[in-house]
Amino acid sequence: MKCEEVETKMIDYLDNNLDEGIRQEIEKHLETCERCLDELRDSQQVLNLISKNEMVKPDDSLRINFYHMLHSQIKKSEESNATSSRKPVTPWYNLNRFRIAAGIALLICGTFIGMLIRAGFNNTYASNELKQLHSEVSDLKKAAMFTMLKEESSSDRIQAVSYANDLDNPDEKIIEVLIKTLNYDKNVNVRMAAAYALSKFADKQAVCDSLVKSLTIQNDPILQVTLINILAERKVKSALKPIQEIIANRRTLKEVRAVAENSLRVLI
Amino acid sequence: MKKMKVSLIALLIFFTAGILSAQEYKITTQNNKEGRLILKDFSDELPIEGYNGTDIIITSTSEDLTPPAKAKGLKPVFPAGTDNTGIGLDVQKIDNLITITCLLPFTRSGEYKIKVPENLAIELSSGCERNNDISIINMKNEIDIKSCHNIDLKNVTGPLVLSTISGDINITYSSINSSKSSSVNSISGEIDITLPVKTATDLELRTVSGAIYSDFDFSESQKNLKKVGGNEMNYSLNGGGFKLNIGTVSGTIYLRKGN
Repeated sequence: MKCEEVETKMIDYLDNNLDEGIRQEIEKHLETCERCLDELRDSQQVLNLISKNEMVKPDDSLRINFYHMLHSQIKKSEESNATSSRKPVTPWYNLNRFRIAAGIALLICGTFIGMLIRAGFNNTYASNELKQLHSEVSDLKKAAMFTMLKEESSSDRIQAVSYANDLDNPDEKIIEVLIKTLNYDKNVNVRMAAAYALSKFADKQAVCDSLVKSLTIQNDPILQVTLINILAERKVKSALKPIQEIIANRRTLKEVRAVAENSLRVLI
Repeated sequence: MKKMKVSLIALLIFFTAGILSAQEYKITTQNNKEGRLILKDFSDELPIEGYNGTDIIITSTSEDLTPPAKAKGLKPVFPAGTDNTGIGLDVQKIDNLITITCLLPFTRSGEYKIKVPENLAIELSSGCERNNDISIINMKNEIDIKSCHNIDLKNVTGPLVLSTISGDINITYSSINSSKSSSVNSISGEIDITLPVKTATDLELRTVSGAIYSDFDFSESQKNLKKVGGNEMNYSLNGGGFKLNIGTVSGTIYLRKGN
């Protein structure tokens, strides 16, 4: 068997989809061919990455909001139709020809995507495509984060902040949004989630500085404790002054003061 | 015997007076998940009960709200806003968003009880000067509370976003039907949570100087006990799922298995 032949059967071989005869032939080839063995390892890695790659599930609210919108739109069009003509109207998605057309469209899309994926795996740029896929996923998460931070529900905003935890290397815009959330979100729990998310990037000087600065403006005890802990853990010396100010402040809660005094032992 | 009769009659009068002075205010809404009820500045105990209906029903048993005879033809005036309900509350309704602000100063109590359509989301905040213990039962949507005192939730599904300073937090979940994040935090109060035993969740427990007790099995969790800021524990129950973050500074955390 030649190298090219082995290469084309590589994925099926890894997926255990081959006849015993061909399998043995490939194994025999692999014993002697260093290049194909390398290729095999690479493909294995890509497959592992793909299986590890989590599906991004859209939030429930997306579906609910969509149906809500659809419903109100249908209602509106029904109302306007009712005023112009009394004829009952079947919604477009209930018409058979649309259903069939949608089915065919889906089928074509599916086949096309399937072909794309196959082509992607069979060439050596597979890992590049995967990288692109990864960046697309994190772009999606970023986009979701920015929209969800505008939600009325605190739970949604906590979820949005938690997306930042999944990003390895957040850009300035994300950091900026997290800092804004930490300082100005109306809900303490959301602000706290933002503090923990930022603490993961505290090796950046700018993030560190903004955490210290935030400590001087936060007056909620839960947040004061959170920030003091984060800063003490990382031995951020510039936090010393605001922490001492908190200790000196007569209005500081005694639990917060205890945590602040405790942190001095690490910082001094 | 006579004495007993007199006290009985007195009791009867007392009760009828109580019933007579009970006032009710209804807000018609829809019992769906898009609805959101915001409650502001309530003092004293505030029991909230979810039910399968479409009206928000507020009852007040306080005699304090019945105007004296001299006030006939006059309206009560409050510094915090305009009473548009007759029971010391300001109600605003914009689409699905209903905001109820209590206008009474924290030295007066309206003795309110609120029945709420069970699918509405509830958002509640009151300042520390208001001695306000909150109890909520039978709700099926998000509950968002900022308080300084006790929070008692029974038969709820979440998501929950709660914070309190010195109050205790007690939560008994009926079931968890949410994939959204929950976060429960206190400074010095106890946190006592009963989770359905099959809950699939990613738990994050944090405490600075408090203790944690549980009958869940945490043997395989990633413990991180060396932190300056106290203990932190991350653990996936039943394979993991929605994020549940529980944190306290000096309070104790109890995490129990429910049904």
